[in-house]
Amino acid sequence: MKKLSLLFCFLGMCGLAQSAALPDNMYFKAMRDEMSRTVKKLHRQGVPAPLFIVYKLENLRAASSVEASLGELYPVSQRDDKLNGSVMISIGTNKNDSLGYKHDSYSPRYAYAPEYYNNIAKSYDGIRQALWKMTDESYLFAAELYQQKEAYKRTKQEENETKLPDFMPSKQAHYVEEIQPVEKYDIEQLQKWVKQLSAMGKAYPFLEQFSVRIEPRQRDTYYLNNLGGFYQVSQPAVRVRLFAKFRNTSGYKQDYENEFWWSSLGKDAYEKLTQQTAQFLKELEPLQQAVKPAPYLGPVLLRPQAAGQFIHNLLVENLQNLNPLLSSRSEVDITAGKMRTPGQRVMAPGITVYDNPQVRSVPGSVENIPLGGFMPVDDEGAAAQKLTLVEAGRLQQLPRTSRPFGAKLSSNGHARFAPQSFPRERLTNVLVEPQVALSDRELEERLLSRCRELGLDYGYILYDFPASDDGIVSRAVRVYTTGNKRETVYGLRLANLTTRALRDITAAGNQAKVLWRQTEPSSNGLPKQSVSSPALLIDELEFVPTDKKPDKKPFVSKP
Amino acid sequence: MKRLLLLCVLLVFAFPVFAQTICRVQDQRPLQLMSKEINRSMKTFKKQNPPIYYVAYNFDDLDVYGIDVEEKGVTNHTKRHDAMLQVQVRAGSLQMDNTRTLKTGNTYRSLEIADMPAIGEDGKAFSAAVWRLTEQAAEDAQQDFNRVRADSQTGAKRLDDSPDFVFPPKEIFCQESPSLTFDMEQIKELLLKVSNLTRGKPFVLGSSFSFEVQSGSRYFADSIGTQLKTPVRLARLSYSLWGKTADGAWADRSQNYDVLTQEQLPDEAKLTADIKQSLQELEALLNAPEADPVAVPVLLKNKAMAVFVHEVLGHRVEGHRQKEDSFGKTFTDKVGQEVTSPLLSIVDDATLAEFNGQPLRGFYLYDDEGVKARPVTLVENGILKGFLMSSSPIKGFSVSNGHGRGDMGKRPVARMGNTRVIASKTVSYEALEQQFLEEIKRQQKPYGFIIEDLSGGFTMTDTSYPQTFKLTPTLVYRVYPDGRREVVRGADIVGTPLAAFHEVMAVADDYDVFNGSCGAESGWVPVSSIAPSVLLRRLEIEKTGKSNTKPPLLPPPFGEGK
Repeated sequence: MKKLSLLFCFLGMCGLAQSAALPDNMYFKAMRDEMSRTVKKLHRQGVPAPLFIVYKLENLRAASSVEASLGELYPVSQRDDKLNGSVMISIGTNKNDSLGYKHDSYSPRYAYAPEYYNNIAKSYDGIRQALWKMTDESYLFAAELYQQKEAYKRTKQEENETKLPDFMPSKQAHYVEEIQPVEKYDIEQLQKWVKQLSAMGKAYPFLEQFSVRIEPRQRDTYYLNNLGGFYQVSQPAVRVRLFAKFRNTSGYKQDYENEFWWSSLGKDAYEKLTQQTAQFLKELEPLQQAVKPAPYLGPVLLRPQAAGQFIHNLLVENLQNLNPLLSSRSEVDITAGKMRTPGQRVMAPGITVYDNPQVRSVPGSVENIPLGGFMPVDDEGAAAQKLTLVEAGRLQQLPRTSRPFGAKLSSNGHARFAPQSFPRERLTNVLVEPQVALSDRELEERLLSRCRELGLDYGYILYDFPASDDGIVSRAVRVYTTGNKRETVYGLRLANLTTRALRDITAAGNQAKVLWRQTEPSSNGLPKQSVSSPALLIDELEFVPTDKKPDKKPFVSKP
Repeated sequence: MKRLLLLCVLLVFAFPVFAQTICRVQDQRPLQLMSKEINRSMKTFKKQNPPIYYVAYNFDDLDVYGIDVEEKGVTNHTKRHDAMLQVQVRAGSLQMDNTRTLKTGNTYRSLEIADMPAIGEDGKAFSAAVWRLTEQAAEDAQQDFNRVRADSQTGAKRLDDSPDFVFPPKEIFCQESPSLTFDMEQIKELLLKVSNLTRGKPFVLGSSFSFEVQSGSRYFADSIGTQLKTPVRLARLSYSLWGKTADGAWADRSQNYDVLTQEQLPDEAKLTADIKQSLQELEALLNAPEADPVAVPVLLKNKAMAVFVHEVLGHRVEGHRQKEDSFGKTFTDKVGQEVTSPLLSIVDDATLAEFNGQPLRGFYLYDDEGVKARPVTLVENGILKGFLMSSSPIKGFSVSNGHGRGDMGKRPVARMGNTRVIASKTVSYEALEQQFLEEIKRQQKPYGFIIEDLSGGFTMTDTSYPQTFKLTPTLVYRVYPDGRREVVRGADIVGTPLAAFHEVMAVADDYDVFNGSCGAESGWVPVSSIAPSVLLRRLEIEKTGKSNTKPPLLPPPFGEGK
């Protein structure tokens, strides 16, 4: 710790340094020692010295995953832990630094991203070696960014907002939890489970494939910056994936899957898995007999899973990366969220939306479902704060980093550092809470009632929502206003979706479901963001049928 | 541009004679199930429009173990079982089918592959997976054939209008594969220990130490009735060290050890000595002067010559390159003509399992189209005799000679196996080197080059580009007429195939093996090449490209102050 304190004093940041000791492990020792060397010695003539240095290591730990199809196992793969690392360096001064500008090159290598290495040797020497190389490359990249940004600024007039400093570091925080060993599951037991569960698919002759996969996972993260911020957290989870392939009666090849996450496999795991599998298989029969839809414009009831994706598409994506990157290549940063003004009307009243990086599961929930966005300290070393994003239909607090924009200057701990991006404004655990919560039945009655008002024969219930603007809904049920008739449809394509739909929410359910979002492809399949939402009734959404023609019939029948 | 790479990255090995245990194809469940599915589907396939006239399955059932180490730490450690199926489907007719290259070039569509579930008691899940993949492959084949048919109606007549396929002969063969056993913990400890040898060497920018084993069986069944079970046994220990000069040029040294038993692995003393030698060579390379472009006498050491033959001649005698009009066809019409120095004969013999006790990576019993491997004389005393053939006939060569090869997911084409250079007249290596010095003097050149090691290179066979080759030596000595020598860096060998092989003046008797992996249209396949050292009257040397980035500003964490 003495060494580290010295390091901070060297940087003139003694006041910000935390008094807590760094964890005593190989990862932090290697980061601390290479950081110390970097701060003391890394300086190229004619290039400003490093200003902000971040080291982050992620140990992606994997127990064996098991998978079976129609009662027979796939081979088991065993892999040791995989250690990945990132280094970010900015240069210059707090007033003018190298960040906030996208490199002039079109090469993906020069995206707005830190140095990132896969498969770092799991030894002190190996980590030092990797950090050394990444640090050097990161410093050179920062030098290029700095020069390009300065040149760009000379071509523009200075706005009031650009007078803000580039970087305003917060008081540095720390969080350390003990890293637990990966939970050891009995692989033979898990194999037996997936064999039995996947064999349940044999009762559905139309299935061409039905597989069940269980993947225990754990991601341990070690973070250190040169201003005194550090954290060590561990995220264990078990992913379960049910997957089916079949042809519906109209001849379309269909894939259908359900993925869910648990914190661990508890005592009643097999019982729950059996229920989930049975439910999944039960959903397949109507899907197989699904009918072709007609164009539709009207009210839609989104079940919790669909509602979570809906909130993600329209709200979360617009509340991230709020500070647009400068670029000589484009005046528009297409990655930047559009909802940047507190007080702006963005949703229907009656819904409150929070972002809470401090929780590991939905507050009050007894379910064994983890949240992916737990992040007590952000990737700029600031304490991560709970935010009220939307209240009474209006935007309240925005996620902020140490790069000031707008009226407020200080960070609220929402800088997220990813292999694909330097730290930018990101949401973590998005929790949707209605003022009035209705039962499923009440919601359905509201849907039908609204359909009748509009003179529609039916409305739609969606069980999932497309991730893209013109995506296909996997499971959509048409509910008729008379006669309790229900029909599952196939090929229902989303059309003309805009953020207007957020203001069309007319009711919400009383049971939330957690949607895990995969925000980083390299994060060992463990998402870093979650959305928890109840069912939502939307007054108007538009859908059109798919243009795809039916697939050719099989040459030969299934054996 | 078709760049055909030969890299000594991986090594495959096969065993010469296995302890024969009783192996009957009728007892092999994968073969039973695959054949059953073929019989079931072919009845319908033949009646389709366009008809599907041929189906083949390749099924790999392998145990794979791998460990990678750097800086006293493990970077990657895997243990898995691969059970992968590939389907080859042909639609149309023997004369014209879905595999034909369109006039716009391209094709070589990937083949359908899938991980397979266990066979289990009833085999239903396995059969369902075979069926699913076959259905998809059949759809793809019909779509491709329709494109080929349309293309043929509007395209110019092909210079070689040989059929697209010839049915391979029916074969039945079964050989069990005794599994390879190694003390993985001991090997891991050895790698971790020797990885520390780079510590305190500031010129080493990176290093890797690896061990990989593949062991199991390969199954093949087709609609002709062929049923094969053949062994796969591969194990390789390897290391690589690399650095960068102050002006941005990369240099590296690496070594591979191909083995089948623990005892064949280098012990710690041998491995340590080799790594230290490589470190010395790397340091010398990083401090070496850069070579200048020049045409001078060159002595290719045996392993370098092995790569030279593979790249410069081997790829150009692959059968399909004589057929497609997009290829340069350097040798197509030269059968019976002199194409190399009369000192040389070149044979490709995939049935050779080892050479002087060294396992050969290019060994196999049957190719990936189910055709039995056999030795093929390509060049005899300088005269071109034939080509490497897959089941795609060419003018004058109507059947396969067992060289249809491809990686999983890639349609097989004619590829090399074990390419062997045999000289009719040899001298000792010492005499060859003496002759080399005399030739430098005779030509009044200031120096010549000894190419000690070649990592690989590429040869361009597409007509859009010059029919040239470029090889990348990794260790080159500039040798002066008085015998003095110095390491140089940045020297690539360039040339054209017809001219290069006529420059061979003399051959040594020091045959050695290069084991490597060759990448081409049909993916990566394990190959070997056996050659002696040769003296070439003249070869052209050009500068190697280099990066514009400097080595890191700071020395490595453990190299400071050294």
